[in-house]
Amino acid sequence: MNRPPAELYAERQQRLADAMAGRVPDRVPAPLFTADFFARYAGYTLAETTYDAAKLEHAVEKTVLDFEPDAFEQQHTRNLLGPQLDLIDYLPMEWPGGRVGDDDPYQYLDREIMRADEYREFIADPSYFWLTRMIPRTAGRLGAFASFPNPLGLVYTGMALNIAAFGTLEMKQAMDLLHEAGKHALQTITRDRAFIQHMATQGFPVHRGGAMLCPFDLIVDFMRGAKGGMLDMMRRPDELLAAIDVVLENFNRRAIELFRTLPSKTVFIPLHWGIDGFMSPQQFSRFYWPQLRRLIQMTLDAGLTPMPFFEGNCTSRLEVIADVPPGTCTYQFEQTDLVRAREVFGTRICIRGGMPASMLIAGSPTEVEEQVRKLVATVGRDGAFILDGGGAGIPREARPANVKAMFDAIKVHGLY
Amino acid sequence: MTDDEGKRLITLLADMEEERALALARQMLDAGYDPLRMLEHCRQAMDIVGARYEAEEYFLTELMLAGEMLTEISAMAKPLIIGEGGGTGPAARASIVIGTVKGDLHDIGKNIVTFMLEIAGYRVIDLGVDVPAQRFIEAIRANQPAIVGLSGFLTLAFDSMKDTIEAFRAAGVRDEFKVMIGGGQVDERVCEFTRADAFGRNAVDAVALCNDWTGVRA
Repeated sequence: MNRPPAELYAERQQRLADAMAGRVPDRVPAPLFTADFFARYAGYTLAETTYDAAKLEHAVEKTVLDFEPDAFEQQHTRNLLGPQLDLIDYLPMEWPGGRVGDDDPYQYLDREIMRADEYREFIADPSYFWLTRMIPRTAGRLGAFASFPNPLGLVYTGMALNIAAFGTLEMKQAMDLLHEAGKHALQTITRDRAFIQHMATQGFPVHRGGAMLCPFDLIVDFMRGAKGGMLDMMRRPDELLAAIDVVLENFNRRAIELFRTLPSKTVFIPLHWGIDGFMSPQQFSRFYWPQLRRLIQMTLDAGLTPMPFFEGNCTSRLEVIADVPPGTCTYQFEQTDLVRAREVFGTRICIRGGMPASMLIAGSPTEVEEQVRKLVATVGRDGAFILDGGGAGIPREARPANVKAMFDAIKVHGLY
Repeated sequence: MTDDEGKRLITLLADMEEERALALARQMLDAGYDPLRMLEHCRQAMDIVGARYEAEEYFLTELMLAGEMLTEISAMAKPLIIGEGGGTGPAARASIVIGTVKGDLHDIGKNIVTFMLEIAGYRVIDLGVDVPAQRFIEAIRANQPAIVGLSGFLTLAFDSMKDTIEAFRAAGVRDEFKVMIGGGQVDERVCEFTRADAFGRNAVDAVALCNDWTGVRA
């Protein structure tokens, strides 16, 4: 009855790998993906799992051991960020225990950070623009970076003179603060790696490593804001397109290099602005998909597996987004019609999702089991399917009995 | 009757020709064009924009740009209005109080709904994001809405919507209006869970619900 953890680990890995490659595994895999379900489940506030590594680890481990998913996801790097964010006073985000309540979730704040007339400056020198414009505007305690010297000026006598900005008290305070925040970040990463090892010895692989935004979303979410970004498609399309290319080369390409060193080789790409209703098909084909397709290719070329998460409903995009090499990508969906997606993709793309958030929260275990059975018989019939919560995984408010029903049901009804 | 300049303005606005539309509006006002009449043209143009959005010819970008143009022209025209302002369009339909429920800071979907309801002629009182039940109740008492719209993107909004509607009941106002919910993962099951009267998947649904409830034929 008690199989060795190493054997279970290998079996779970293989199950996920088969599904992701478009093959038929021994059964439909169901990894645990959630932003914060584990906290409430283990009796903690979100602030506790945002600031306290031991509580986070206890909550995640308890959740994984109780439900026995086929994999778990790195939670330290997504949740254990409170102390750093406090020190930096990061403005585009809210986090539990920060400016919002102890049990309020992470949320991003929509606002314009880069002005429309700054595109040129960003495109010409994105990193320096980020250092001297974006950081002072988004990090309340790093205003001194506005006078960060131009790195290209640090040459010959400039090396001795242009460092003057580092001599100011303001810059010293900013650097000291970064050192302190950096120590917390280092601890987050160190504990994350140790925890992954710890869970591996219990038979649970980690699934999903790096996470990055696609260029359009990065620009809208963290530079121009919703209104600015969407209007730029009509008002300044050329600058927007140039900026998208700059993000792809300067942000995404470097992020991918970093992701190659992470424990899991799947890359999470949450997608926000390309959904039905937000963009016209023409806009999607001009500002979103071609660059996302390039991003997917860059990820594949680095030996990683792209896992874009198409939020909202993307049913009208299915034919367009089907254009990726067979057996290479996993597409996670929220409200997109999965049966239709299967028709369009065949088993060339692994589909992930299927369990409505509303059912996990307000439904019954019987309904959940029936939904699992239905998904396996339709979307999952020929493999290339991963069961998951249809929102961002398992919502915090999900009833534990429903979550249990989901993971139990897949072990019974998900067998091929 | 709409004069030729007015017709041109309506077409430019409806076709998203921002620069040309604003230049023409400026020129017309400078030449003494009736500002109230201009605002009526804007309303006519927004009707076309709304219809194109419903027909899925227009998307979020066009709604946002339409909103921008409307704001610009209103800012130009309103200072020129002498005496009694407004009242040129059809009489406002029912009032609707709308907001994103407590704990949720998302407002893009709600803003689209507000825009479309205003185009449809409703008087919309938009309370913004992270709105506690008590603020809804105050707005309800002050405005006597026919409909209350609760929006939310995060799953925490399900509980928040439920609590808000329960608070309406506790305050004794629940039976005075219809409640519609929408946003994010909201579906039939969430509608039952929160005890709302109906849910909508998008702004077009929201307008249809309101028209239905207030007896307006689309």
